[in-house]
Amino acid sequence: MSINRDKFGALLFLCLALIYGFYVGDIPLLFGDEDAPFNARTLPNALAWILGVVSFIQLILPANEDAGSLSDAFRGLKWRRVVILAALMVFYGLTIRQLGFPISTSLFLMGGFYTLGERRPLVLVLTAVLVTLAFWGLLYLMGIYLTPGDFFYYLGWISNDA
Amino acid sequence: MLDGIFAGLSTAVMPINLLMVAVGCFAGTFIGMLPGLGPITAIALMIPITYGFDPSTGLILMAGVYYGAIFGGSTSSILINAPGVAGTVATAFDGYPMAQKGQAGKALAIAAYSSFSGGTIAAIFLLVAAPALASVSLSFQSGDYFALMVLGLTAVSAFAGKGQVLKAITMTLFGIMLSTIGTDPAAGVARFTFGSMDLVDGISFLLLAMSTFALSEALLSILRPTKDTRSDEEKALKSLGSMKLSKAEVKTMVPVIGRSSILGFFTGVLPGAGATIASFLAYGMERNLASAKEKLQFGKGSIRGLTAPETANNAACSGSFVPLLTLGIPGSGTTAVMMGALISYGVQPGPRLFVEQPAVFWSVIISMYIGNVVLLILNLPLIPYISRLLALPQQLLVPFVLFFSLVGVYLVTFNTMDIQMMVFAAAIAIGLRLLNYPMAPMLLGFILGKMMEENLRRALAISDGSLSFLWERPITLVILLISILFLSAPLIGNFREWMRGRKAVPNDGEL
Repeated sequence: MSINRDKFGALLFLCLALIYGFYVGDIPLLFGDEDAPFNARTLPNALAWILGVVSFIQLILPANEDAGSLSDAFRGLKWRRVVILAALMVFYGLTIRQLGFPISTSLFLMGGFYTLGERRPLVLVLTAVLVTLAFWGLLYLMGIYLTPGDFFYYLGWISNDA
Repeated sequence: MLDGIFAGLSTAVMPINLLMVAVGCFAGTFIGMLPGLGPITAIALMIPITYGFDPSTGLILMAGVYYGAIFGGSTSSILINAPGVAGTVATAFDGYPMAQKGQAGKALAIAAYSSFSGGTIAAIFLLVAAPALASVSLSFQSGDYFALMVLGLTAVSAFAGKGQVLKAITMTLFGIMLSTIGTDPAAGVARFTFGSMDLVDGISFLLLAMSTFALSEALLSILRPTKDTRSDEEKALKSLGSMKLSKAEVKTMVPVIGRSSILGFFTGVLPGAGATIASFLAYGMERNLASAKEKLQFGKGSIRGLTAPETANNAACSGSFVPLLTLGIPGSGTTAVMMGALISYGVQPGPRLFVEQPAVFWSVIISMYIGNVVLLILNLPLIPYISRLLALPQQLLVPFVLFFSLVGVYLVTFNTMDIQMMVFAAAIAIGLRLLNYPMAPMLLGFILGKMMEENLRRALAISDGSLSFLWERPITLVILLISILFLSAPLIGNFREWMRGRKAVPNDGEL
């Protein structure tokens, strides 16, 4: 038996409302703000309540059969390539400072092309490198300078003196 | 006003702005034709490019992209019955049958002339309505603004469609919740930052727009592969046929354009009801007005059936600028993205914009005329050439979209943490999209959330903590009553359906 897609969504948002409402208590209040008609907690409190009520209503209303089951919604999806692309994006974020814009971007694009099935080495490398360099040059012309990467400074290939 | 128009005209006809209109229309058409990418993604991708520009130039480029994306969507609707944009679904009803009859060129020409006329007529309405509404709205108080924002948010939910109302409300609330993350502007205390310095300034609007639209749409096209329609589109473009229209055809189109422009513009002005609703309303109206003989033609390649939605969707695009420019309240996801961009340029849309920065205000309106001309004289003949760009394989296209989205956000903050946050936000957006939750209400809630809180706080301070501001001024009361009406209409509809016994149980999404 699988839960209805809409019901699952409503359940998720009900949990969110509860968690959000729980953390409203952590918002610090300035001295005297406790009795003010509107303080930093007023809107978050109201939101937690309204979202809780709305998702609860959706939970108890008769199920919309057209929505299908949760397993239907997630069936037949190509997760592998998306997970690899997400990992590549995380890797890109981690290396853009260290390896620098040109190298990390070229690697990211090459990885992306390869993941999605591009196997021609010339297209893979040339497209990634040329687009990266063209974009880097364009940014330079626009007055945005992205450093080649901390890694090269550590190696002493590029000096900070300039 | 005349001074403002001339100032706007001189700004709009500057070579850089003319170039941006053309580039925007062209880029928008290309992105609009791509399967899975809509106008919000098209505009969001343009924001980082426009940061170095003057606000007028940036907004002109984005307006061009908006028109172009709608036009691009029409092209895929007509040629292959695959609307790239929701606003062009009704275009396919009669556009595609025409293309099947070998009249694709004619259908595209009708779409272009209708879009041009609808956009131009609506821009004239905008020219009159916007300043008038801007002057009226100068007298608006915090309570009125709060009520207007409630109206905007409820309308978006109410127009969300069958089975989606509760979900749209949920997403709107989720968007407002996201807007509360960061430092509270009035008290200066941190809310929901969990000790992270990266969250002290709150979530960046651009980050949210890029990850929930551009990133998630690109990743979804991989996750849930649909039929790649680009080769079909390319094939269809090779056998367009004549683009010429006969006198009789033009004569049929003229009254339809007139009616649909008016309907489209006013539907666009309504918060929440954008190009999609306008196009369906216009199509329905035209079918109802048609004679019994003409009615039979609808769905089989009727010129009236194609002209009406195409005119209305472009008129609605212009109409949607009215609440944005005059009240500072976006009525749709697309205008919410534009508003986010304007705020990041340091321009606050709203009634003061008309007074303080007339050049920005008027240049956008004037550029709409220019944008429509560009679409007609440049894009229509260029359609076969744009198809060549569509030949770019998906394995190259998707990484490019991902790259432009990530770099677009990184170039603004130079914070690598933002890239990780984007991946996280995109993952959540994909999950929500798979559960059929609409993203646009969330973006609207995020944009309006902060302003709503600020106005509510001010209104309560003025009224000494009393909620009487909600009914003391007639305008506030009327706006709030309309909001209640918007929210209760789907509920009443469902209840009546239930009473008639048509359905055993009401649809759970409708409230």
